[in-house]
Amino acid sequence: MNDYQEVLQLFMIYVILPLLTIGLLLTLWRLVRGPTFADRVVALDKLSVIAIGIILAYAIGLDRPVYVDIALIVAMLSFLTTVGFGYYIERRV
Amino acid sequence: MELLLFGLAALLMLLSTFFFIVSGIGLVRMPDLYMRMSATSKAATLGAACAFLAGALYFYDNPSVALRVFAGILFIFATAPIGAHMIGRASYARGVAVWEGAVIDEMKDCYDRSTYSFHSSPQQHQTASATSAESGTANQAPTAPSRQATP
Repeated sequence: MNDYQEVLQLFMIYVILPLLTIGLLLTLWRLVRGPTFADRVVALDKLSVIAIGIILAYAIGLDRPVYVDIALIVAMLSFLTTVGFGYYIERRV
Repeated sequence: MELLLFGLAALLMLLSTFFFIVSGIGLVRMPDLYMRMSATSKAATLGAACAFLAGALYFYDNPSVALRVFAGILFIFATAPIGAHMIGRASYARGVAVWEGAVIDEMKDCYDRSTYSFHSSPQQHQTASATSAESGTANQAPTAPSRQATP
């Protein structure tokens, strides 16, 4: 653990995560407010993409390479939910 | 060397947060579902790719992480357009309104409710339903002679 690594980890925890929270709040506003159901599905999709960014920032900030796997799995699950919701919107009677 | 790698990782992470915030602003400010979906599917995908690359640069002494990052970027770039296309197609088929300032709506009246499919033009839809009416399987045949008479 040298100095550069420590500075980068502190940068991730104290700068990147609050900035990501701003994007998360903007998306949450659309998720609550969205006029149609499809707007909420789009906001949910973007919410999970921001969750990938947060997980990767944590992986760097806490120095855990295992967390990259979690980001990959969240990406796959978000695609599954998006496809499922799209199918549901189209076939709903 | 480490200073360069970690500085690049910090820059990429800042870029990805910039893309996420821009896509959030687009999601809040755009007037239409389809424009919002454009903001989400482009900017947020780029932001996730930048975050993955920052992770690969930070764990530079661990090659398996680089492999996972490659797989993740490939997966996100392949699946984000598919998901956005499915949501847009389904919501257009269910009649989510297009922004009233839109100039042209080329897919108007091209959706067939009974088969869940789009036709390339309303004219072709007419002829398709007419030919299937001959075989006796169509349930609705809105014959518009003024449109069919034009060669």
